[in-house]
Amino acid sequence: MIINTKYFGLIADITNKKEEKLQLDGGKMSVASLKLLMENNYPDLKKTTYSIAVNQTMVEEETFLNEQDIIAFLPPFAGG
Amino acid sequence: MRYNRQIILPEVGDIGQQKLRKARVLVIGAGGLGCPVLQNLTAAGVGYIGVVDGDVVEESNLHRQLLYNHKHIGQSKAAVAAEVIAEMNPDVEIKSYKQFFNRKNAMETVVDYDIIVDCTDTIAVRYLINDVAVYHKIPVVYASIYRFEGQVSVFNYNNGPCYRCLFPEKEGVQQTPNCEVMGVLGVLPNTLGAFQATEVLKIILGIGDVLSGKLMLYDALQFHTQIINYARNAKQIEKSYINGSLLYNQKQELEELDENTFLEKIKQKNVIVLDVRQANSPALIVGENVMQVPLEKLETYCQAMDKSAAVILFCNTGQRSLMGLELLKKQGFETVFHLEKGIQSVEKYKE
Repeated sequence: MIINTKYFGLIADITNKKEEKLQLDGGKMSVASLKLLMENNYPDLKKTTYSIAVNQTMVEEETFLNEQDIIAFLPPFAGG
Repeated sequence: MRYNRQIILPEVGDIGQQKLRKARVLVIGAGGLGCPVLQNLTAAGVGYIGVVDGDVVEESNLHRQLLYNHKHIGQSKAAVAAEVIAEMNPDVEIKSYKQFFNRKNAMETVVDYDIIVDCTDTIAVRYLINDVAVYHKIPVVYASIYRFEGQVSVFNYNNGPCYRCLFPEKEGVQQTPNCEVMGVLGVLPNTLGAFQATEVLKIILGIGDVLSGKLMLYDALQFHTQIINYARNAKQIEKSYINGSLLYNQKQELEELDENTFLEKIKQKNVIVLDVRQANSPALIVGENVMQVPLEKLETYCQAMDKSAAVILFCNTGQRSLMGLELLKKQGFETVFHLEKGIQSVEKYKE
């Protein structure tokens, strides 16, 4: 399964890119498992807080991903 | 004449302008976001605007905080902002709070307002605003920025989701950096503040689709905007409400003294004790710092008092002293207590 990830704010600084395409092996994958995978790829993610949107809607961690989903990693911004 | 160009919009009209005049909006933070919000709401004729900020103007603010100029460096942001916007539009009544929004003043500050605009720069304060706003059911117009990006949304609008529904708090996470640390292009908060002002006006006028349950993301470098939908989360709303009620009760605890705390506190040298029972009541407590000021005379009497002084009020039952406490707080006194159940609850002074 191929998914598209998009990174915002501090998350984009950690991944050093705005987006990427990920090839996921195996069967079904939940948002929670994707988070684990990402935090493995980018350990600094563990130190931050962020919410995840799938196809422009915020989702719970139990949600399962589908082929070609667009996954946004959204941290709260502090600045004002 | 001043509002003609917006009154001729059928969506606004005279009725809309009256709604703006009657509206009460609290702007928390008078920095990058707060300045454009204040300017736009003032120009639009919002009738009553509160501005909260404990900071002073610094030179490094001037590239983005357009209410201020170099002559204001070192002065209170809340005071200068209030002064500048008062000159912009004399129709608008302005109240400035020269203090940071914190757990101690949060509850009493928000109760007077219909809408809160979150223009702060710290995540912890954003959660605090959320919790008191959920508790009092006040809509919050939120924006925040990070380098070239911004977020806008509206919380607690018609039972809609809150800030915690969007970003649940994660314990033990490092502070999210603000502009001071990360840098910001001056125009960015002005763009986002204008979006916030737009949502405030829409809420007051009851027009258009308010950004409730929607997070707008803006990227200035790519000129890219998108909207993310999010839902109400009952657990997060409950958590906010509980936090809010804890703050509310903490406030009660702080202000309302029981017998022992009262006896302890009136012995302190730096407090003023006011006996607000009816005139001609026999003196009960004698001391250099104790004055008999019947409630009816309190308003006149307190004009001559130092508003930063700690004041303790008592009466027979706690009712007059509670009214006195509210009166003194309205007059700007910051530290006021009263004997909750009155002097009749104090064994030592029972008749």
